[in-house]
Amino acid sequence: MKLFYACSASTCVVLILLLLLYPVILSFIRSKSPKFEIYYHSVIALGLSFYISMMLLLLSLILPINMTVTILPWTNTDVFDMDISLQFDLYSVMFMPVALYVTWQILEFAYTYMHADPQINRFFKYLLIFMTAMIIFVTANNLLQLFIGWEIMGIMSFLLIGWWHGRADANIAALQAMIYNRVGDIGLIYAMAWFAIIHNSWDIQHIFQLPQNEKINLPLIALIIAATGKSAQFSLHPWLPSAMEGPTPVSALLHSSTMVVAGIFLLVRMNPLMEFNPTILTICLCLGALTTFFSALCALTQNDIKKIVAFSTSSQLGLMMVAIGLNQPDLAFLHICTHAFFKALLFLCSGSFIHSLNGEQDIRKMGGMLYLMPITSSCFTLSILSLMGVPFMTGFFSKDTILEAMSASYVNIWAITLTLMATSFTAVYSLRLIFFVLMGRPRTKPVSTMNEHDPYAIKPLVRLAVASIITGCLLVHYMVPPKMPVITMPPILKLAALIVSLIGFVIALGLAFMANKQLKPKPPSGPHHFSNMLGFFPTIIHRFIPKIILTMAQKIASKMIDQTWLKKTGPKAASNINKPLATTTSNVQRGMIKPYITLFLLTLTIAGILVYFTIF
Amino acid sequence: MSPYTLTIMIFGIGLGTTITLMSSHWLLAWMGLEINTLAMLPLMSQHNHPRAVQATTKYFLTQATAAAMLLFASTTNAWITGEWAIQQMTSLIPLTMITMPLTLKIGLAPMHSWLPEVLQGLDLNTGLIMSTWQKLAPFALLLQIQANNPTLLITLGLLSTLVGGWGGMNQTQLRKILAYSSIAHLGWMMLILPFSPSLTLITFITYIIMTCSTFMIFEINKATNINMLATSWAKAPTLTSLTPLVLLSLGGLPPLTGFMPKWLILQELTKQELTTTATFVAMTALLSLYFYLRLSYAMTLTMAPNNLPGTIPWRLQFKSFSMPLATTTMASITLLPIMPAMSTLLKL
Amino acid sequence: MTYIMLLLLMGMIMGLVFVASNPSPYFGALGLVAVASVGCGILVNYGGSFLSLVLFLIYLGGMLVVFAYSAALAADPFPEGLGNWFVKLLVVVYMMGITSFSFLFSGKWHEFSWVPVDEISEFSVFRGDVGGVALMYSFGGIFLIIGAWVLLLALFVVLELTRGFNSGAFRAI
Repeated sequence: MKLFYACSASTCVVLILLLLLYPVILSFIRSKSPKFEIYYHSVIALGLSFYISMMLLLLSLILPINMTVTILPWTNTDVFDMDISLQFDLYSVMFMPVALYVTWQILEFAYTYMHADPQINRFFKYLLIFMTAMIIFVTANNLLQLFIGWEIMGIMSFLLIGWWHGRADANIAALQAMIYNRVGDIGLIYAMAWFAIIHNSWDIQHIFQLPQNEKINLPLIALIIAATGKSAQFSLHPWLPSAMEGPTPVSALLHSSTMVVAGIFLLVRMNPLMEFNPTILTICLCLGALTTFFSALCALTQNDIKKIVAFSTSSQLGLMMVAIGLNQPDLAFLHICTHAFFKALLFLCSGSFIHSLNGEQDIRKMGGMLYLMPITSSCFTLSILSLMGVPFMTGFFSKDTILEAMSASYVNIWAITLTLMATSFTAVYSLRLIFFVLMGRPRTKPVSTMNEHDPYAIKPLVRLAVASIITGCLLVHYMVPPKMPVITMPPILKLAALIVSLIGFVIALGLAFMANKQLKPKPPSGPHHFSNMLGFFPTIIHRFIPKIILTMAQKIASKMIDQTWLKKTGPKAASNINKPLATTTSNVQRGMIKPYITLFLLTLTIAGILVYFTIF
Repeated sequence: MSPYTLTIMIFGIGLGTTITLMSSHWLLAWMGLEINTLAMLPLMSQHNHPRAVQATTKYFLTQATAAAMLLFASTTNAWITGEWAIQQMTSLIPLTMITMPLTLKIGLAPMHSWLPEVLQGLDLNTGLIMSTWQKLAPFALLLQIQANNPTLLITLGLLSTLVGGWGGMNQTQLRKILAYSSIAHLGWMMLILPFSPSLTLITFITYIIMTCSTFMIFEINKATNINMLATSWAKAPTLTSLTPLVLLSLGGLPPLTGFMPKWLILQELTKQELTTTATFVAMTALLSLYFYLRLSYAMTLTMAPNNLPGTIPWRLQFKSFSMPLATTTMASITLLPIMPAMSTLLKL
Repeated sequence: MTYIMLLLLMGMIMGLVFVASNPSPYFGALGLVAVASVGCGILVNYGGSFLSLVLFLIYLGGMLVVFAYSAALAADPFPEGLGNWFVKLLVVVYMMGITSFSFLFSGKWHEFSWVPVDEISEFSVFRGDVGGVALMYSFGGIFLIIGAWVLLLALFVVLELTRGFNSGAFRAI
C-alpha cells in the first residue's frame, strides 16, 4: 500500500513538473510559435496539473501517510550523499492544488492584462518556470532541492518584476527584490553550510534528529533571516511594495501562492527544529508582530491601490510569522493557503480596475466602480471581507484561529498588542479601499470605455471568489492539526479579533464621512508623514547607508589607495623626484668648456685627496 | 676633404688606437691617444659649420687636457716607482691620476659634460666613430690597469648611470640622447671593472653592437630629433618595426641582447655582496629605459601626419649599403641565447 | 747650487701662477716665456744641458710666434695685468692652493725630486742626456719614427683645419 502511494505520489509530482515545463520546452524545440500558443498550452498545463494534484490530495486523504521518496541518487562523495528525494506530507500535498489553482486563474486572467505585450510568450514561460520552482521547493526533501527552488524563484522574480525594464522604476524594483533576496539567501546558505558541516546531511528528516541544544540557534537564526528576506519581514521588507512595478498578474502570483510565502513555508518545514526553543520562537513572534503592525500602519495612508494591497500582504505575512512564533506552524500553513485565494483575487480585481482605467493606480482618481464594473467590484468586496476576517469567509478560519491562539497564550503582551492593532488597521485600510474605489461618484475621465464582456477577465475572478468563500471551511475540516489549538476561552478573548476589526471599521467609517465635511484644510501631520513615507525606512536604508558606503569607498579606495598611495607615492613621486634632477643634469650643459675642465680638475683633486688619506 | 687627406686621417685614427692597444708602455700609449685625437679633428670639422667647429674645439680641449694629465700622471708614476709599464702600476696616487683622464676621455660622469655637446655637433657617421671607436683606446688602458680602486670606480659608475638617465630624459635631440645612453652604459662598465674585467669587455662589445645599429638606423632615417623619427614609418617600415627592439635592447629588456650584460653585472655585484649597489643601479636603468621607450613610442606607436608624397619613399629602391646595419641590428636583438658561450670565451 | 735651484723652482711656480691667474694675452704669453726659460734652467740644473738647449730654442721660437699672434689677435686697449684685483685674487688663491698641497706632500717628495742627474755621475760613463740621445737613435728608433709621423700628421691636421679662405674651420665669421 505504501509502495502504491509512493509510486503514485511521485508520478503525480513528476507529471506536474513535466506538464508545467512542456510549454517551455516546446518553445525551445519550435523556433517560432504563434502569438498566443504558449498561453493556451500554459493554461491547459496548469489546469491538468491542478487536477493531478487534486488526485494526489484525495489519495493522501484516503491514506494519510507522511512519506519521503528518494527517486534517484544525484551525486555521492565518500562522506556526503545527495539524492533527489520528494516529501509527501500534509504541507506539500495540500499546498500544491492551492497554488496550482490560484496560478491557473492568474494565468488565465493574464491573457486580458498582457495581450498587447509583444513578448507575451516569454511572459507565460517565466510564470511557468516560477510555478515549477515553487513545486520543486514545496516537495523538496533535502536542502539542496529546496535551495534550487528557492533560487529559481529569486531569479524569476527579478525577471518578472523588471518585466517592463524600459522603466527605471521597474529596474530599481527588480534590483531591490534581487538584493534583499540575496540577504535572505545568505541566511539559507549559512544554514546549509552549518548542517553540512555539523550534521553531515542535508536531508530534512535527518536534520530533525539533531540534538536540541544551544548550538542550533545559529542555523535557526540564519533560517529566520532567509525567511525574513523571502517573506519580506520587517527590516528586509522594502522590496515587496516596490515589486508592484511589475505587471499585476506577476504581483498576484508573487503575493498569493509563490515567492513570498516560501519564507514562511521554510520555517513551517523546519518547525520541528525550533518547537522547543523559546528564544527562536520569541524572535519569530516579535518579528512577525512588528512586521504586521508596521505594514498595516504604512498601508493606512497609501494612495496607490497596489501599494495598499502589497502592504496588506506584508501584514498577513507578519501574521503568519506570528503563528510560527506561537509554535503553531499548522495555523501558519493554513493561513498561507487561505491567503492565497483572497489575495490573488484582490490583486486580480485591482488589476482589472487598473486595466479598465487605462493604467490609473491612484485610488483618489477612481470611485464609483460599483456601478461601472459590478462583478469585479463584488469580487473585490468579497476578497476584502475575507482579508478582514469576516466570519465564515475563507480568511476567517485561519486568521481568527491565529489571533485566538495568540490571545489565549501567555506570550509577549507587546506582540499581542501590536498584532491586534494591525488587525484593526486591516479593517481601516480595507474600508478605505472600498470607500475610495467602489463607492461615491466616478472621478475618472468622462469617457468611460470599461466593460466586463471579456470572459477571460471575469471567469478567473468568479472562480477565485467562490474559492475565497468556501475553501477556508474545506481546508479547516481536512486539516487535522497535530498540535491542538486552544478551544475553550472566555468570550472576550474569543471575540477579540472581531471586536478590534469592528472598532477599526467603525472608526474608519466615521473618519471617511468626516472627510467630506471637513471645515478647514489641515496640513498632514507627523504620523501621516511617517505612515505615508513608509516609516522613512527606505530613505534611511536606501540612501543613508549607501551614501556612507560610497563616501567611505571614495575616501578609502579612491582617495587614499588610488590617489594617495598608488598615484602620489608611485608614478607622481617618481616624476616629481626625477624631474628636478633631470633639469639639474641638463643645466650643467651650458656649452662652456671651462666649467667642464674645472669639473674634471675638481674630480681629480677630490679623488686624489681621498686616495691620499686612504693611503697615509 | 680630399680623399687622400681622408685616408690619412682614417688611418691615423686606426693607427692611434692600434698603438695604444698594443703598447705596454705609458709613453707609447699616450702617443697613440694623441695620434687618435689629432686624426679625429679634421673628420669632426669636415662639414665646416660653426657647430661642428665648436664641437671640434671642445673635443680637442678636453682630449688635450686628458692627455696632458695622463702624461703627467705616468711621468709621476715613473718617477716614484721607476716603472713605465702599464700593467705594473703600484702607487695609488698616480693610479688615481691616470684613471681620471681616461674616464674623461671616454666621458664618464662627472667628466661627461663634453660628450653630449660634441656629439650634437657631428653628423651621425662621425658620431658613430666618436661613440664607439674613439672609446676603444682609453677603454683598453682602463682595462689593463691593475689594482684599481673599487670605491672610486663604483662611485663614477653609479654617477654615470644616474646622469645618463637623467640627462637623456630632458632631450629631444637623438644624438644627445645617444650620448647620455653612452654615458649610462659606460657607467655600468665601470661598475663591474674592479670585479670582473671580462664582464666589462662583454658589456663594451654589446654596447658597441647596439650603438652601431642605432646610429645607422638614425642615419638611414636621416633623423636627428624625435619628431623626425616619427616619419620613419614611411621610409623603412621593416626597420621601423625593428628599431624599438634595438632601443629596448639598449635599455636592457630581457629577451634582447642588451639584457645579457646587465644580467651578468647584477649577478656579479650580488656575488660580491654589493646588493644595495646592484639594486640601485638596476633602478637607474629604469631612468634610461624611460627615454628609450619614448623613442620607441615616437617611432613606432605614433603615426605622424604626412602629406601624400611623403608616404611613398618606402616603395623606392633602397640605395644604402645595409649589410652592417642588418648584421648589427640582428646581433643587438638576438644575441642573448649565446650568452653562456660568450661569457666562457671571455673568461679565458 | 741648491739656492739657485730653489730660486728657479720658485720662479717656475710663480710664472705658472701668473699664467693661470688669467691676465690679458700679452702678459699671459710673457708669463709663458718666463716659465719656459725657467724650466730650461731647471733642466740644466738636473743635468740635461743638451736637451735644455734644444728645448729652449724650440720654445723660444714657438713662443715668439704665439706671442706675436696673440698680441696681434687680441689687441687689448686696457690690458689686465697683476694690478687688476681679479687677477690678484686668483694669484692669492693659487698660491694658497700650492702652499697647502706642498704641506700635504712635504717630507715625501723632495727626496726624490731634488736629486740632480750629475750627483750620481760617479756610476755613469756618459752624461745622462747624451746617453739618452744615443738611445733615442738606437733602441728608440721606432719611437722616433712614430714621433716623426705624429708631427707630420699634426701638420696635415693643422693644414686641413685651416685650409680654405671661406670654408676653413677657423675662418673669420
